[in-house]
Order: sequence, then structure tokens, then C-alpha cells
Amino acid sequence: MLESGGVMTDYILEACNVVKTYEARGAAAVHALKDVSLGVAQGETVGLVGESGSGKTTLMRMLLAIEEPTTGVVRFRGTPRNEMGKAEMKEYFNNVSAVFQNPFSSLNPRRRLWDVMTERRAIERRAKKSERRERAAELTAMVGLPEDYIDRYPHQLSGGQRQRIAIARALAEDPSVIVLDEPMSALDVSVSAQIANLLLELQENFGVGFLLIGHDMDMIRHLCHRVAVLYKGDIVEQGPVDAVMRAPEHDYTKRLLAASELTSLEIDDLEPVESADAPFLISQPVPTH
Amino acid sequence: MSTMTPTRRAPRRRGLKRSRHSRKPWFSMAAMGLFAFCGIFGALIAPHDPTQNDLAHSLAPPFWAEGGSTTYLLGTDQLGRDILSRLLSGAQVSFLVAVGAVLIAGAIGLGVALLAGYTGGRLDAFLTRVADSAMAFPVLLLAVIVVALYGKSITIVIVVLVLAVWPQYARVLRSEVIRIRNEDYVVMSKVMGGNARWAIVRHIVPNVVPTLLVLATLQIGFAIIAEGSLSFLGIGVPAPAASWGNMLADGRNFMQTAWWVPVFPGIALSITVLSANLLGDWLRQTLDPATRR
Repeated sequence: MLESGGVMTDYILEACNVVKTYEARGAAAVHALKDVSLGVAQGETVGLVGESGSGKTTLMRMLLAIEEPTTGVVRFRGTPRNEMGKAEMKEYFNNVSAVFQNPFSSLNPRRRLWDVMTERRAIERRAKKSERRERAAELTAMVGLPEDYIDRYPHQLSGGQRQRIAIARALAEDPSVIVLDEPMSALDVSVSAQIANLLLELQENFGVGFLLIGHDMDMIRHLCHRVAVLYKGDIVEQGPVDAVMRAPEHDYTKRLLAASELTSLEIDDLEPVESADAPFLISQPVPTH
Repeated sequence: MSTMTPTRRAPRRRGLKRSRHSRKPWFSMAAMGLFAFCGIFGALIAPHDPTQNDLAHSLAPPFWAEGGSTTYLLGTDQLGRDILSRLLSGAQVSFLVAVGAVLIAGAIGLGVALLAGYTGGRLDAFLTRVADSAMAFPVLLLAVIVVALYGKSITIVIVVLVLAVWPQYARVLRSEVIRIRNEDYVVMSKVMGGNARWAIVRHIVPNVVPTLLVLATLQIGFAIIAEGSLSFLGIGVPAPAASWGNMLADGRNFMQTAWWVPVFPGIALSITVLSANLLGDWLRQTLDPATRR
């Protein structure tokens, strides 16, 4: 496997030299991503960490085709997305799916869960209701919820149950890659552990690749094979999760690790990193228990 | 069974607490139901022709008062026209004006809100400015101008009210559309390959409907009052036809001598508007928390 945008990769979904610049009238342009390359292979979990404002969300939006990069391409099984025809985009939408952070806003409150979970089928194939309900029942079982939940509305479920539904929706078309945007951050600890185990189980059974966005380093270490560290629109460090955790090279990575109490690094030893959005990472020592 | 008791009690208590905040407004519902019924079937159940003069029986009092007869249950006005029949006929005018104005203005407002809120950018800025300017224009002046140009008719009243009311829908619904457009489930529909039409039809419109309903109910009250005011001022529904507003205008000179001429249309107007507003308030309380969740 090559690390960056080469042609000979096994990556299913890959960002190649993606640059995203937001032009604002009368204001300075914002360079959200500066030449980022990152790929996810079959059955692999890649962690993407970085503080808020580092470009994580922007990269996610590029990969999910919510927005297009300014320059650079997103490849799916080697084909650049901007060269894809209608049929290929259909494949793309079937194979690349997502679970968002907040399960309270990711499910339409006015739709029953079977309808929510199989929305992709309604968009693409105008699938029959009976077929969609059948699939929804399979999916709820897959994520460990009772099958009769398919007739419920989102507000009848707890946060953890909703996140399971969001995962079920992501699985609906047997995707090869799922982008997980901090899927545990809105849940309490025991529930997020359950969700983490569910994700591992699904990966084992279906060989789906995950891109896990987050800043819970403990969770990243637990779930990921590789990790990439995004800092101010650049990937500053990338490699196997153990190596990066054991011997972080970039100051920002060290700081992240220190903040999550995973190393014995002394915070005082570190140079302060310029940061507008996440001052807590640098200025406050983490209380030790 | 003993384990059932506590689990059953908790939701019941919550239910009670909730109903205290939003007890069903039976009176308003019944009044609005009666209004709608009279608005649709008023002409069929009216005992007399509402425009038929009968000068021999002018200013006859209601049947229970001295000198009243059951021929004219609520009495007659100065031209001997039956007040009950005119009230029913006026209900039709009010109903037509209110429902017509509210529906058309709602449709325009929703359309503008979707266009502005979903598209954003310059179109949004332009449409918002148009709505603001329309709101800044005085309704009464607008009515006078339009009537001066096109004459008096029910259609003109509806047009004036639509012009006055649509920006309010547009403004409120636009901010709702923007809020919903950014919800994760709408973004997710894009990730699943859904286009703008899909997002609007399936996600945004159904979630805007409760707000639209609340607005519309409150606007019904406003529309009835506005029609009454325009007719009272003589720039609304033209004279021979009955409207609660022109009945009030005609009757105000007889307040001392024949109170029934202005009082009955006044009561009809007040109860209908009050009911529409109470119903709107109740809807707002009932539907709002559900949409926020």
C-alpha cells in the first residue's frame, strides 16, 4: 500500500491531494484543507484526529460528496469521482455511507424508523414499502434492536438506540466504507462502549472499512488500525496506531495524547501550539486521578 | 401486577401535567366548527333572503324582546332585512375571505421561504428584502389604493389581505427552512444521493408544516378582523352583500335605539376571532415542543 495518492493502492475510498479553500466576499479566504491525502482500505479502520477547526469536517464533506474539493480528487475504487457517470455515482452512494455525531438531529423526527433506515432505497429505486420494511427489520436485528422498532418514531428511542438506527441506516446498502463522525461523542460512556463493540463486530462480519473521526484518543486506539492527525488543514502525522501512540512525532499529536492522559508526558515540557479553537488542549493540565 | 403500578403511574402523571399546559380548547374548536359550517352552508339554512328589504318591518327587535316575532329571530335592520340571515351570509364572506387569504398567502409565503431559505445567497437576500418592503407598506393605504383602482369586491379584499400577510409567512418559514436544511438528516439525505427536491419534499416541508399550521390559524383571526375593518370603512365587501363589517358599520347609528343591529355581528366577529386565536395558541403549544425534539 502506498501512503499517498498513487495509483497502485488498495484503498476503496481515497482523498488525493485534496485542497479546499472557502472564498468569502470581502474577507480573507479560508484554507480549510491544504493538500490532504488519505485512504481507507477494505476492512480497515482509519482514525482521523484533530481539534475543531482542523478541517476534519471539511474532509468528511469532501469524502461524502456533500461538497467538491477546490483542487484534487476523491477516488472510489481508483476512479476519480469527478469522472464518474450516473451509474458509477449510484455505486458510490451505495458504497460510501456515514454515521453522524448527533443521533438527535440525524433522524427525521416525522418519519418512522423503517422509512429512515431505508431512505437510500426510496431515493434510488423507488423500492416497494414491503421490501423496505423487510430490509429495515433485518437491519434493526443487525444492530441489536428488536425488529418491531421499525414502526416507531425517533423520539421514542434513547440516544444510544438512535445511534444504532443511524448505523443501521449506514449499513442498509451493504457499503464498503462508512465515515463515522464522532459517533460516540453524544453518548454516555457505557453506551459508547456498546456502540464501539457493535462497530468492531460489523467490521468483522462484513469487512467494511471505517474512517473514524474523533478526538477521543482512547477510542481511536481501541478501534483503529491506522491514524492520521489533521492540524490546520494538513495531515501532520500518519501511521499505524500503535506507532503513532507510542512515539508521536508532531507536537500537536503529543499534546493530544497528553490531554487524553495516555502518556506520561509532562504538559509543562511542551511548547504552546497556536490554537484558537481548542485552548483547553494546551493551557490546562489534565487533572490526574 | 404490583410491579405494574409504579411504571403505569409515571407516564400518567406526566400526561396530567402536560394536559394542564395544553388542555384541548373545546369551546374554540366548537366555535370554529360552527363558523366553518355556517361559512359553507350559511345560504342554505338562512330563513330569509339576506338582501331582501321589508320596510314595513324595519328595526324589528329579536323574538324575545317586546314587539319581536319569530319570523325574524334576531330582528331586522333599518331596511327590514333579517339579521340572522345576514349573519349567516356574512359568515360566508368572512369564511371565504379568511380561508382564501390564508391559503393563498400561506402558499406564496411557503414558496418564497423554500426558495430563499434553501437556496441562500443573493436570491435569499433579494427575497428577504422584498418581504421586508412589503411588510413596511401600510395595509390600509394599500387597500385604499387597490380599491380606488379596481373597485370593491370580495376578490379585491382577498388580494389585499394576501399582499399584507404573505411576508409574515415568508419570514417565519424562511428561518425554519434554514434551521431544518442544516439538520443532519437533511445532510444525510444528500450523502445518500438525494437531490434538492428530495430534501425539500421529504424532509423540509413536513417539518415546516406545524409552524405553517400555527401561523395560518392565527392569521385566520387577523383576516376576519381585517375584512371587518375594511368593510366597516366602506372599502371592503360592497353594500348589498352582507358582511359582519358592513353590518357593524350600518348598525352603529342605531346603537341607542335598536341595539340588535350592531351587537349581533359584533358578537359573531369577536367570538370567531377569539376562537381562532385561542386555537392557534393551543396549536403552538402542542406542536412546538414536538418539532424541537
